[in-house]
Amino acid sequence: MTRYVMIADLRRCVGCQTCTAACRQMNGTPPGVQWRSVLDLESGEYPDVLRTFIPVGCQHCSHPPCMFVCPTTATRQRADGLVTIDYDLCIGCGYCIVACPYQARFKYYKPSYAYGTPIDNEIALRDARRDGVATKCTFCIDRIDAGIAAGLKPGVDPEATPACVNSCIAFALHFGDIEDPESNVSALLRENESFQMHAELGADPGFYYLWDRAAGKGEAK
Amino acid sequence: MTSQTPTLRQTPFALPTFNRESVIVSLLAILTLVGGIAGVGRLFLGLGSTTALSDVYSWGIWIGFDFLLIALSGVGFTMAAVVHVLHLEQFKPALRPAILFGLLGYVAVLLLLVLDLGRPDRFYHFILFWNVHSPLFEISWCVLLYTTVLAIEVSPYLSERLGWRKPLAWFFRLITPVTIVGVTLSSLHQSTLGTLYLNMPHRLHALWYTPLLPLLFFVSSVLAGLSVAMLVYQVAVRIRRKPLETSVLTGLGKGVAGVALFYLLLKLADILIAGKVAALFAFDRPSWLMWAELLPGVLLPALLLGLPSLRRKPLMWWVAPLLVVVFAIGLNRFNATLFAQVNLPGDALYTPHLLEWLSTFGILSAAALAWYVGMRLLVIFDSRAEKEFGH
Repeated sequence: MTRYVMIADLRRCVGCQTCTAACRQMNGTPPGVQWRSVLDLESGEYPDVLRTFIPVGCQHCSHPPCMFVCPTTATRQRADGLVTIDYDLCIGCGYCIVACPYQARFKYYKPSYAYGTPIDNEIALRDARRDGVATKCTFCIDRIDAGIAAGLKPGVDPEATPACVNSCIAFALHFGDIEDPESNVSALLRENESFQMHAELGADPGFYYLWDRAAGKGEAK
Repeated sequence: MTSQTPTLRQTPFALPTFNRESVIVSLLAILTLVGGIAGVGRLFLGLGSTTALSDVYSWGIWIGFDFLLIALSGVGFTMAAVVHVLHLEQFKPALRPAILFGLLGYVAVLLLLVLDLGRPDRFYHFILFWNVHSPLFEISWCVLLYTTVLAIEVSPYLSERLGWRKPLAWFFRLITPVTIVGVTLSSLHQSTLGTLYLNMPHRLHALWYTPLLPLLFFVSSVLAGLSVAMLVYQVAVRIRRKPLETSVLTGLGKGVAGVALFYLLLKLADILIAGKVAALFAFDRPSWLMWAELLPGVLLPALLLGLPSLRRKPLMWWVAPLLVVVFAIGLNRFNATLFAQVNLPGDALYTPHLLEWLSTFGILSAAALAWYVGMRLLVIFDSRAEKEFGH
């Protein structure tokens, strides 16, 4: 079995937002729709303060609340753990947007472009099927599928790996198969402390955060 | 011979002269027209240009009014159950205004729901693609089927007016199973509206979030139903200039008081058992909102209609059910969908767009207008067919 997960090493992330730009570049999302974003959190009391950057987006949960509530089966889960949206089935009711505990879902409310008029990349990536329906991070599903078809390994070969992971300047983002004990992500989770965001909600997110609690002086939530 | 020509005033189609009735009807017509234009505008221009909805508030006042209207339209199944299942025949005079209100309420809900969809052209997808785990899937189906049931229940009012005897005979043969199906469908989706938020404890303030949500939604829909039944019956007898049967109102009033007390007990028990007393007495915004539901919305109407001396006062037949509609149901449904939503990004605000208000009031006015026309044209009181076919 295969289950693709993403790992964000919070000890490494510097909040440069290159991954958010890479996501926009790759997926052509309009302003306001940010499938990958990075939160900037301050915690503690002066002088013991801490600034933490937390990459967030669709967590590709193994029990996705969004899939449970979808009235038309538009949201589904693949055998490899990726949670997908069928743009042709979605009616844009917004229930999944309300139900997602990670605020990871977005509707295209109206056509809009970063500079008013569309630039070449936005024209090339414009997908009218996304208008009015729910969208979210796909883990760059097209790259993964094309990469596997070409005999490449997601998480190892950049051509088969999500754009945000490829773009990370600090090697903070990692991607791979958690079911494969030999994979990069399995090794990282074995050797480091980690947590899932809001694990208490029981969705079992496919997104892990590496974090050293003793050094962090607090909860990174 | 000329003396037999009916004047306009005597026909049910008469245009009313300038009086309170005509002013209200004209106002509703204007709101319907403006709202219709706003609604069509929304369909052509898209959600982004015509609403204040966002990914933080993807459900706005349309959903709030849907919740409210479905609860109020609970009058349909409540009164059908009272008259046809419990066989409390003395409430029959209030049945037909209630059923028609229920039907039009549900039609309005469907229209509002279509406006709310990002892809309104695909509203029928829940019929083709089944996710049986989704509360919204169940609600969609129940609303669709129950609206059909209500249309069947209303059909004899029209067939009797038109003198169609065959459909009438058929209808009265089917009334009991149709009513039972209707009551079942209603009980299902009225409670499932509470289930909508059951799997997101992180979204709802603790005072509102409870595993009892489905039960609370169902009981409050009965409370709403009995209250609306009192209101629409009084309006209907005025429109048709029929004598008011006070026993109908005092009887329904007793029901409102009883259900209100039961609902109050449920809410208080939940707050006590789940250890939310501190939140209730925090006297912050959520706490005040809850008090506003409980005191003027539930306790006060229970007293006004529970004490026999007050229950006999005609003023209470208006005041108490209106309090229920505004505070116990209206405020509660808007709390659940908007005001008591928590854990949203801090600076996010939702101020409904003017077009959202206009289209909402347009659809509500259209429903009210259609109900008024129904009261004027259909067989609402003293049905001869009912006596003839033995119901």
